[in-house]
Amino acid sequence: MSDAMTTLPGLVARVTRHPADEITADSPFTGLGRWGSLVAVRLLATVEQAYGVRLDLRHYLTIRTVGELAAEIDRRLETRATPAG
Amino acid sequence: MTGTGADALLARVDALLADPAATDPGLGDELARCDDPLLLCEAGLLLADVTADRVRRGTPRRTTPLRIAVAATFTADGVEPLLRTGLLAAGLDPEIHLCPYDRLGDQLTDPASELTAFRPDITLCLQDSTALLPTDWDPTDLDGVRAILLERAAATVDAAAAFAARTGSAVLLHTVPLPRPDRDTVIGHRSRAALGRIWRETNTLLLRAGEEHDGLYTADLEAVLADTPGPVRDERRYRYGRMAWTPHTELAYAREASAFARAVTGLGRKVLVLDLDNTLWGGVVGDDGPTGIELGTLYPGDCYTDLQRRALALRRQGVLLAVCSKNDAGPVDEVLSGHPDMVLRPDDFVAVLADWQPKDTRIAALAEELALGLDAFAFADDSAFECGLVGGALPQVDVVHLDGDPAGHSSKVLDPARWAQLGTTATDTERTALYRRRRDRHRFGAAHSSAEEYLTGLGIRVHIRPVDPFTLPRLVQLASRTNQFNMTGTAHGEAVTRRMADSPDHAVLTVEVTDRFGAEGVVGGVWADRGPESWRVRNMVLSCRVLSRGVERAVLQHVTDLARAAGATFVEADFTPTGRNGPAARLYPEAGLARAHGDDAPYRARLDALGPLTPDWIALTPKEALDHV
Repeated sequence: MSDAMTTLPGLVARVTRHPADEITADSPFTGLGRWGSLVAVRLLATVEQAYGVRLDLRHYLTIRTVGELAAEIDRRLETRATPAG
Repeated sequence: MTGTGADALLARVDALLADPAATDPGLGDELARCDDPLLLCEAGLLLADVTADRVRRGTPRRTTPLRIAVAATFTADGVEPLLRTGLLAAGLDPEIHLCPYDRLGDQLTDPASELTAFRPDITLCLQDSTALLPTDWDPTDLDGVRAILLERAAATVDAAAAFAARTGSAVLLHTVPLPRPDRDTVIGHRSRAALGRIWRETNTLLLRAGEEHDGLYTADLEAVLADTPGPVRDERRYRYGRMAWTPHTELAYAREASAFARAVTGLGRKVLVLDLDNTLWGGVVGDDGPTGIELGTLYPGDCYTDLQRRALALRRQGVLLAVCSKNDAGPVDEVLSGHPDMVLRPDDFVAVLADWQPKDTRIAALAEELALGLDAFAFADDSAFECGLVGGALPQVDVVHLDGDPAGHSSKVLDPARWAQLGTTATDTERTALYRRRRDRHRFGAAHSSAEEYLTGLGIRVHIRPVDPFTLPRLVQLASRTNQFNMTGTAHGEAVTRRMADSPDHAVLTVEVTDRFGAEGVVGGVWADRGPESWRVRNMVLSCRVLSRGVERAVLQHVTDLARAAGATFVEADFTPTGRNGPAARLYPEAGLARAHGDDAPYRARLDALGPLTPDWIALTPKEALDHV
């Protein structure tokens, strides 16, 4: 399981009000509570603040499941950790 | 805030939601302290149906919901929950209406708009730069850009001022920050300076509107954002959803708007009680001696001197200062009167309490002597013990714990939410002297055996006259500050009051009181409709400074005299219980007015059926001939 996946369900639960223990990597965002564009933007801000990453909005909007988002966060964290060159 | 801290706060919110009877009196303070806009947004969304009395200590500060409309030129959904947390923390129950996006102009000007129908007490007008700056603006024609900016800003001001005048709502505009891409679009240094200038001219126009127009106020958001981390706009949020503000900007604005709501509802604090040792000066006067305390121009003494200057500035704007210190009176007097580096002197204080009694009992006694509610008080002390004691025993008092570096003390005391006022008036500069007289009066009262003997000894004279341009600002301020003797809980704003004063169908009167201790100035007012058959008192307010002296009966006497002289047969009067205006409830029934039918009907009586109302100990002296009312 990806690193971000251990903490991400808690953040998703906070924003969607969907119970954290029912959120898995396969959970589609569209099935979570009050999911919509405003909720998506709130989750983006929450994730960026929690992990200290900045996501590409175009790519973020194509992400369908919690697991895909966790993987994207991990990728960003790795890029950030690897020195350039 | 860390993940755990965030979860803990939201868990407290969840606990409130799980049990409708549950309360969490510390949660309001926690929300006020929290600086994480994302967390506050989630909390605010969850708290939509929770009332302020469940998240605050002390009694509720207002029992009717405050109706607040948000009309924005961009997507401002994120502001609403942040506003809610700010208002709940202030003890206000907000009913918030978010107008459709980008319809600010229509909403303000159309009498059939959703905004008008909502009947807001407060209307927040939010604008982003694109509402002012044309999309195709040309950096080589800044004169042309300037003309458009000023025209658009003036149009907003005109619409907002007309809305305020038409509806009586208090309207808040704000200065508009210019996002970085717009600034960077101009590449020449001289041109960029010119863009900065015309942008600020535009904001100056908005600021001036908040100084000059009745019912219109302006928050200087651009200045507030200088202390806010990050950009004003996140381009992704803006391009995707026309969200023109980052969460940090939304929070900065929501805090300003919440402080404004406190000002409108008269919830700003009115008294600052200060400790002395390590609060007003460095060191302990009892140990270090009057010459050994730290004050002056060198750190850390300059921090204490600065706090004194800030307190003096508050005093000049109407905040009462008092000392409450565990000390012997002698050395304290010596420092207050004689220390060359003291900024504050004995006359700056309404009371100097230097003894060894517990501070909570001293403050409670002072509140009684000044006839002010404890919710008017703030208390600043460096001692965690004293802060805990006062906060625990007197939960209505706003406790400011001055811990840590003294360089931070002034900022803590000056928290803008604490002292929120709509405007200051001529009375404010004299307030300390007025309240010193009130303390004298209280002590005079304690020396008399019967209430009537005491009141007769006071030699009370009541002057009632039509409001004029000099007394109108004070009357409006008084109405917004008065909760106890307020017949309807309504604070008639400047615009409504001025319109009624100018109309032959209404009368707006001010009440002034003098007695042997001096003049109290404007302490009350009446808003009435003058009908041919019947005069109707829409509202009457009286400062708690003059309660329990029968002044309200003299005021009603004067109003009925005017109505009789104008040929009316009946007098009517509105009364709406607000939960706090118990002291006002008895006036009409005891004067012989009765509700004609049902609790919603006004009180009413035939003028010729009313007996004399003015008490024997009051001399009623109208200042103007009746036909000038």
